Amino acid sequence: MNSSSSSDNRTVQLIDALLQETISESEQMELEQILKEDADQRQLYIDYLQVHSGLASWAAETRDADPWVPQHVEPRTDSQWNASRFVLLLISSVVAATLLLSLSYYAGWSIGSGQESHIANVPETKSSEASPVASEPQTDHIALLTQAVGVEWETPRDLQAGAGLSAGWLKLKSGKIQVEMISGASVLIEGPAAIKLISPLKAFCEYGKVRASVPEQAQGFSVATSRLNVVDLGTEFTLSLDETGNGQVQVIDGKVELHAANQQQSAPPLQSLTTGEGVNFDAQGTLNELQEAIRPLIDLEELSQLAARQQEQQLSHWREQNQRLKNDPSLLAYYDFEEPSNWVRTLKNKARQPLSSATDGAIVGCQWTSGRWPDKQGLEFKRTSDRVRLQIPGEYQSLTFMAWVRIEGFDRWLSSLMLTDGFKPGNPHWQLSDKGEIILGVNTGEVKNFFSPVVLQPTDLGRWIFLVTVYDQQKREVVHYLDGDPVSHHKIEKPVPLVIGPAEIGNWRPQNHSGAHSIRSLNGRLDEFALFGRALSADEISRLYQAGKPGS
Amino acid sequence: MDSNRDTTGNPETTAGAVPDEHFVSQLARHHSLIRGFIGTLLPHQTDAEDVFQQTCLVLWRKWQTFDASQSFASWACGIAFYEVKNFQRVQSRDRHYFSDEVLSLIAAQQNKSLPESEQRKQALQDCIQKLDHENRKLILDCYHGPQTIQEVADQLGRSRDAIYKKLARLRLKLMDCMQQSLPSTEAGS
Repeated sequence: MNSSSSSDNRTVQLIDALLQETISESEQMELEQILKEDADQRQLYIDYLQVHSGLASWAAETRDADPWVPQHVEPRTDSQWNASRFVLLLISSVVAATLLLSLSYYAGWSIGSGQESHIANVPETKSSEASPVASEPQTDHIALLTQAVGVEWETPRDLQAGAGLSAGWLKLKSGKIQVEMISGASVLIEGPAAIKLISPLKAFCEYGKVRASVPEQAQGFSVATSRLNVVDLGTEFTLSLDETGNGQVQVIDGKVELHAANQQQSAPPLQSLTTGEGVNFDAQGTLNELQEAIRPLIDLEELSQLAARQQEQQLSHWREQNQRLKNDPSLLAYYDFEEPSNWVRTLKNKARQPLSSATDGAIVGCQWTSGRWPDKQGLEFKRTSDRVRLQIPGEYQSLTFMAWVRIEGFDRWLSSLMLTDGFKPGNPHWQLSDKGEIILGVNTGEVKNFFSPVVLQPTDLGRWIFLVTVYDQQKREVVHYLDGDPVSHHKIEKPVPLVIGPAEIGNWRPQNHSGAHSIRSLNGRLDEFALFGRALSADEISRLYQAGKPGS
Repeated sequence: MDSNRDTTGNPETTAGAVPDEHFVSQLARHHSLIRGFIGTLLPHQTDAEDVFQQTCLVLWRKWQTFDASQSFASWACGIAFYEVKNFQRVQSRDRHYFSDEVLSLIAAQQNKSLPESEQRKQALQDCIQKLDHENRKLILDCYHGPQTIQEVADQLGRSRDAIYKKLARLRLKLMDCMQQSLPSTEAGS
């Protein structure tokens, strides 16, 4: 019914460019303009995109029967069956997510159960009982990212060493990573590369260089390509594959089998290779014996040296910034956790002109430990008594809270970053929820809580994250930042000047022990904390992150 | 949602719902509608997939706030819309995204036709089955497979551009096919 829906239609051309990611800035603006002004063209866009997204779902449902994806059931093609199977997958993934969120003692990550008064004392939530398959804890991590050197990711979100990995794509434009599969296989990957983790014993390589070390426990670990499956029978091999589908496999030690990509592993192999042997293969699947040894890919020792060198560079980069930061006259308190020795129990306020000596922090309980880099100090907050006490005089129109923190687990509904003792008018409470929200609470006479969306995921546990919250009275907004990027903006309806006074980092002292949520201790490490008596700009925050981030 | 009157500064909890059978059946019935709705706002499949997953979680968390007299589809799409906006705010770095204004317009226009989405999905399935085997395979390879478009093109001995053009033609063809098979609702729009 729409005569304009032909391929020479300008809107369709622009949408195609958008889908191919070849759209230019001016074309994007042109498309925006068309969609804004013309309801018919907007309908065309909707219809076209619905076809596009419908095709994606159809293909996903149909293609999930590919031989390199672990299958529980025989593949079939009628669409009715596919639809119901997809629903099953979806439901099981929702249930799995439910479990992940609700089994706090396993992942250190729990949901608020809604039973307010009991949360602090009851470690497990009750929600798991209601779902049918909730009898045992689950996590969907099949691997751990153990090293990352000089990596530029092709995904929007940076991954850092320490992150747990679920099945899915790892795409790097450049750099080197080490991934340890929970089966015990260890894989070094050199970018540019696109590798999909499928199961603890299986990965798919679209292109890139891979070096796999496979101990006896993980025997049978295989790397699939669109042409070949490389099955390791112990202990080490390299695979390199370019974007056109040409590649090489070489055995460094032990034995591997090559199988055709469309065959089951039980079928006889196309070829077996032992130590020193290798083959070239091309997109058509032709195999040719390697005449000479190819240069082996980087090994773990080299990678560790590279990682150590990178850490030194990052640390010295941070030290330069740290020197500059100390001169900021708006700093109310700045703790860099770089103290002369590990028996010190005072956290020195490193601001050039401290307001008073009470702004030095008194360490209670916490243990000294390493920070973002092995040579940087940090404090560990573990027990419910661990805390740093401080006192900040004065009244402030705007404030910026900043911390480098490594959360080890969300033990309870609220985890303290910095809270004032009690909660009197003007007092700010900066904390995290166990769902992964950043919260700034302000007592404006009534209680106002500014919640970020859920920004911290289970994969963020155990890695260093950069948290900033700005209370900007001039712009009348609160902005939360994660890793240098704003994640939410909130309007301040009723601005009040902020007052801190006696306060704590990593814990809270309720004024009158009310019971509910009176335990909010942090489970994790801190290695830098700052409080500014002004609103920092997004640019400043992004620069602080760039200079302070621990990896690549 | 941002505030409550608890003087100890306790943020109000919104969680606590458990996905019961009713929820699961509603989600199962509407998942492709929700996924499609997100797909029109976020053209890139990986983005849409991420947001869809996240949306499912949020729907479950907010399930207790769902008013049974409401339509599940429009409730879910309302939540999905905010998840899309959040996603764009957090991730808008190397891709082009629409402004909030255009997003709202697209979402609003789509909302009007939510009730017919089931028929449209069926129509698309039927139209795909009408394609010949070769075209269906091309869609499978390009939309969901281990290969890049370049690899698909190489295999077929065509240029990448030719493959993109072919896909564009197939999408238009399917769109026309769907429009013919559906009862015309609002002629001209």
